[in-house]
Parts: sequence; C-alpha cells; structure tokens
Amino acid sequence: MIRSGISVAAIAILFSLAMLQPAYAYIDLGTGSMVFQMLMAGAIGVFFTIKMYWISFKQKFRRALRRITGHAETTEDQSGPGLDETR
Amino acid sequence: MRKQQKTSPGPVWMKPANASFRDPGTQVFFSEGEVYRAIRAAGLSHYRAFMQGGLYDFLAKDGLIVTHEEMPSSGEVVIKPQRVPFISYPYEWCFSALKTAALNTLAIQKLCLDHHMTLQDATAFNLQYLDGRWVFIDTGSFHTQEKPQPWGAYRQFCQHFLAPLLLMTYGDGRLLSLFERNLDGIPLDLASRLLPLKAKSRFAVLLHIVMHGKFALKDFERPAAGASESGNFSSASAYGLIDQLQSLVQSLDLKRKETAWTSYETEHTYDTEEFRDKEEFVSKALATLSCQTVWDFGANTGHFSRLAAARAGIAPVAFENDFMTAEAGYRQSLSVRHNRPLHLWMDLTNPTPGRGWADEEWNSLSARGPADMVLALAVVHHLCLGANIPLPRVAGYLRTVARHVVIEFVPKDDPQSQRLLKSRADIYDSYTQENFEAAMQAHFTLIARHAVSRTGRTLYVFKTR
Repeated sequence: MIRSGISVAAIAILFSLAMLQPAYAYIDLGTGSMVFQMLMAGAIGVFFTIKMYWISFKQKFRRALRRITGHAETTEDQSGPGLDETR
Repeated sequence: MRKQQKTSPGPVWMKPANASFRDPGTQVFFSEGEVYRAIRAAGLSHYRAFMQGGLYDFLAKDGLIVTHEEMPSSGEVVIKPQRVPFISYPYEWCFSALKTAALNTLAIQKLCLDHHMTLQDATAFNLQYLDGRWVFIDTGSFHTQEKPQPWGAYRQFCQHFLAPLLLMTYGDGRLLSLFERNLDGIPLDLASRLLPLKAKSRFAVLLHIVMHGKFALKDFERPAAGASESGNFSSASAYGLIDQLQSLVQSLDLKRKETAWTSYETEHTYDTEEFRDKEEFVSKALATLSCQTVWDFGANTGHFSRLAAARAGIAPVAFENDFMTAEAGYRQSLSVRHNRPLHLWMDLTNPTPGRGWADEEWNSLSARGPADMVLALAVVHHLCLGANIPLPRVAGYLRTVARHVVIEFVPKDDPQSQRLLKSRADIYDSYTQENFEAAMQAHFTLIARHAVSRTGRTLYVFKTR
C-alpha cells in the first residue's frame, strides 16, 4: 500500500511536470513549492497514517508479548506522534 | 551610528538591527547594549496566540527557543530575549551543527502543528548557539493557522538545510561554502545538478530536492486562499511532510575523513610536560584577566577552547580552517556537560566579510568583536610562513578583534615551521622573535612572557593599549 502511494505520487508529479510550461521571468519560487506540496499531500498523508498505525501496532504487540512472557513494561516507543496528534 | 527616538515607552534610544527589516510583524533593536524585539501591529495577534496558546512554554521547556521577558510598555509589545553571546552564520558551521539546527527546526514546526500554528520562516539564520544548544531566535516567526495548510517555509527549509546537508553527505563538507553566495540557501536545481545519482535515487531526495526544485522553477498562479481547505491537505499530510524530512535529515552523516589536521593534537612537537606547562599558562591568563568572550584562532579540535569553557561565564568560540577538524572538534565538545565551545569553520586569512544587503545584513567577523580574549596558539607561523602575511599586519588585525591576546611565537627553526618551509624559498628574514615582539607592542602592552618548549616556542599575554 505504501508502495502504491509512492507510485501514485511519482506518476502525478511526472505528469504534472510534463504539462508545465516554462516560465521566463518573475517566478515566485514559493508558489511552485506550495503547488508541489498540495500535489503530494494525499500520498504523504497516506504514507504517514500507515506509518503511525504500524508504530501503534508494534507498541501494542510488544506490550502483549511482555504480558505473555511476564516481563514488566519498561519503555514506550517514542518514535513519532500518536495518531490522535495528527487529527 | 544612527539613533532614532522610540515613540512608545520602553528603551528610549534604539538602533535597528541590520538584519531585521524584512518582517513587518517584528523589529529587533539594540538599546544600551541590550537586544529587544518590538512586536508590531501586524504580528501582535500571532504573538499573543504563541504566548497564550502554550507553544512558547513547550518550546522553552524543551530548550528549543530563546526565552524572553516582556518589557513593561503601554504601546507596542517589546520583549527582551536572552542574549546570544556570539552570532554565527550557517556558512561557518560544522556539518553536525547544521544537522542539529535542521532537526530542531523540524521539531519546532511539529510542535507548531500541535498548537495550530506554523513557522513562516525556516531560515538557518534563525538558529543560534546558546549554552551548548541550537535555539530558535525569531519569536516573530510563529503564525496562527486554523487548518492544516502546505508549509510556506518548506522550500526555504530544503534550501537552507536539506540541500547543504545532502551535498556534504554525498559530496564534500566544504561544499557548505556554496551557502556564502546563496544566502537564501542553496537553490534546489543547483543541488540537484551537483548531487550524484546515488543520492538522487533515494525516493526522499528525488521528491524534496529534484522534483521540488523543478516545481519551484515553474510559473504557477498562486493557489487561491483556502484552496487547501477544500483540497486534500490534511493534518496527516502536514505531519507527514515533517516526518519525512526528519527521517531524511536524521539519516545523513558526514563521511569521516582524516586530514593532516585531525590528528594534530596528538602529533604536535611538545612533550607531555611542555604541553602541561602551556595549558597552565593559558589557564592562568584566563583566570587572571576578566573575560567573557574568548575566540580561539586556529583552534584545531578545540582543546584550549574547552579549557576556557571550563571556567564559568566564558563562552568560547573555536575557529578552525580545516572543515573535518572543526567537525571533529564539535563532536568532541559534545561530551562537555556545560558551556560547550562553539566550533566554526573559518579561514583566518579570509575571515567572514559582511554579507547580505548593503554588506551589513550579516556581520563580518571583526564586526562581531572585539573579543575579550583571543587565543592565537601555534598559528602565527602559519599566517606568516604559510600565507605570507607580515608580522605587523598580523598584530594589526589582532588589535581590531581582541582586547587581550594570548599568543604563541613559533621560531623559524621549530620543526613545524621547517615543515612549512620545506617546499618554498625562505624569504622570511623578518620573521624573528624580536620583530614579532615589536609588531605586537606597537598595538598592545606586554603582560606576560614564558618560554614553553625546548624548540624555543614562547607564549605571551598582551593587552590592548
């Protein structure tokens, strides 16, 4: 799913680039950057959501594993914000 | 110096900071040796949201922002930020410094999103070294943002941080010098041309540098305000962008290369006792003279800067001409718990000039001085024998940047001087200890003198007249 997100993004960008007309003067570099982000937004969002679910799944799996093996829970994975933080 | 009277209460005589004129929302001033920032009407609502929404407290607690106090004022808001002892610029930093500054910028933007705000700038000039940390100094850069939107400073972040870090990782650390000509960061199309295929085959590099660079050079109609609200720019997109950039920056590291200078500290010509003697002399000078700012010229990995840092209240800056040695020094200083020296990449024969608008937006090295003390240990023979700079000129320059100088004279027959002369004709008849002392005493008063090695090296302490 991640791969398909990346592929969609790559195709969208390549298509957009092919359609672009060259500019000869007065380019606002920031505008292109904003348009680029908006084009990428969907794929980046999907990719990030999957990553967060994966981190959350790993945390729950580790906790469950610790409960089964009887080890005390010691640390939490702090590698990224929780899903709630993205909403 | 142009002075202007301020209409509202607060500090009365104010001089606008040279680099503070682009943002209509805030203005940095100097008054009686202190730094202030006035929050103008255009930036007031953003500032209030920043302070009252809890973001400032979060950032201050994490040591990510310079703290400030609000001055009593009945007119516009005036804040007094913590003073940064030495303002440095990204084209003077080491790789690790730029990387840390990049990660801090991203961490700040992530916290901004948590608080419905955004950084309107992501310039590397907004990060400064304070108490061993890279802190964000532009309090006026925090803007409110009701709904997730594309990051307005994304291109700037890529130009100021990502492009130079990638060029240093996949090319050479010295490519940082491209920043000197490109003060708004290295253009993405240029970075894209210079990066090898190995780098560009990474998806994140392809995306944020190559593709992004192509879009930046095309002409678009500005997206209508609110277009992103109806579009697909979600909270996950905003966090996802920062997360991707964090992962990419975190993965970058300089390929460590030994140079002739990285091992200098262990291969110098002093024996152990002589070296201890030299340390003692420098320590005594630091203890005797009242110094807050210490510049260590030709610092190598910064051994003597760390010696200075051990004394409370001193903020040492270590200048080194060899990029990899400056980087090695920066990494060594990470082990210092308090008062870590700042390691900068600087060629003393070509010190940083004034840059930016009217040559004065970003200060030259000498305009950032004078330092209370300059350490010039084992460096004069490099300047005179290695770069043909006459002794009177060395002394004259030191006069412009130092109140006190602890300096080492290395005679011509010292093995290290002989190494410098190996491949060149000896045209340096005037390079003698007598001439050295005369040149220094034309500008300084001699305070102490101590022969420190069997090869005739001598240490001096001078004070400006």
